[in-house]
Amino acid sequence: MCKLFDEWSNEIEKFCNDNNLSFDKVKKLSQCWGKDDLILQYYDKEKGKTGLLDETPMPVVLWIKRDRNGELSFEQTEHTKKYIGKAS
Amino acid sequence: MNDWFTDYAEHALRVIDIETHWYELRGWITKNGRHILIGEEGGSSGGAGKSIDKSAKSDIIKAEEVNTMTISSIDTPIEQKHTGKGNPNAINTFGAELNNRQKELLEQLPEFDSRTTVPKDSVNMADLSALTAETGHEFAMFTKSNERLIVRGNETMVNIDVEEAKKLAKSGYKWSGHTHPGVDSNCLLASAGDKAILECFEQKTSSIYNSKGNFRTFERE
Repeated sequence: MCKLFDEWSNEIEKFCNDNNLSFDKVKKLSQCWGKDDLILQYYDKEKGKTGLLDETPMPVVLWIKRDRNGELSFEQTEHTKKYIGKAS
Repeated sequence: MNDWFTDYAEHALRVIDIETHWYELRGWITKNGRHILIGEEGGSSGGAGKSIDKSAKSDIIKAEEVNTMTISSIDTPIEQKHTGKGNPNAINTFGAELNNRQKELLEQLPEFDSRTTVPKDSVNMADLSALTAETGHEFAMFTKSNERLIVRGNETMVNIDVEEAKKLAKSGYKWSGHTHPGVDSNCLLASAGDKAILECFEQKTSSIYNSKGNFRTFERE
């Protein structure tokens, strides 16, 4: 769906392998993207039932940013290991 | 003597300013489809109804047509460009005003859950960003054929639940997008509610705009 994810797929997979994270789980995360970043969030359907009446952001699992030189940086959060850790 | 010199200098600067912005001005004209001056094939929509050089592709204004242009036709867009009127980022940063079209729209949306339907070409998501910058409130927009439904929220929500979203989708609306008040990148994060609403519609993606006019796109499952 997101072109950035497809474009960065190899680097994301490498990051996952290097950090003991599951790329298969990453692929199932919700994707939200801007011009130079891609945010992967965990979507809990139970929490979306009230629609726009509850705008609490979904937990951010991985935040991937592209700098001016085209290099990617990966930001892990407190939710990273919980949702995409290989052990979980 | 000094007054004469000052007047002359100001006039000269003004001329340079107009010339400098001429190509940008033409771009602005084309984008917005009004205040058409030159080089625009078949341009008759909206605005001031200025003269058009349809015959020449050279982009040179005929002398007699220059005479029919008023100075305001040149001044208006440049003035707006410099004042930032209607620009979400300028409203947010410098306290610039909404433009007249946005003001009229906001008058139709005075409070939480106010709703209005307007022609499709009279509003876009950047306008909702401007309204969010002005009010600090969320707005959501749904589009069906040539009309747009705008719903005003408050600081944290819009009164659209899943059931209502399903009804809107059933009646032919698409969800054009909505706004989140704020200027940082965190306010452009999708919520579970955003995802649930998107899944009520057939479209695959929708957008979130902030108070600066920046946006992110999110997808359905």
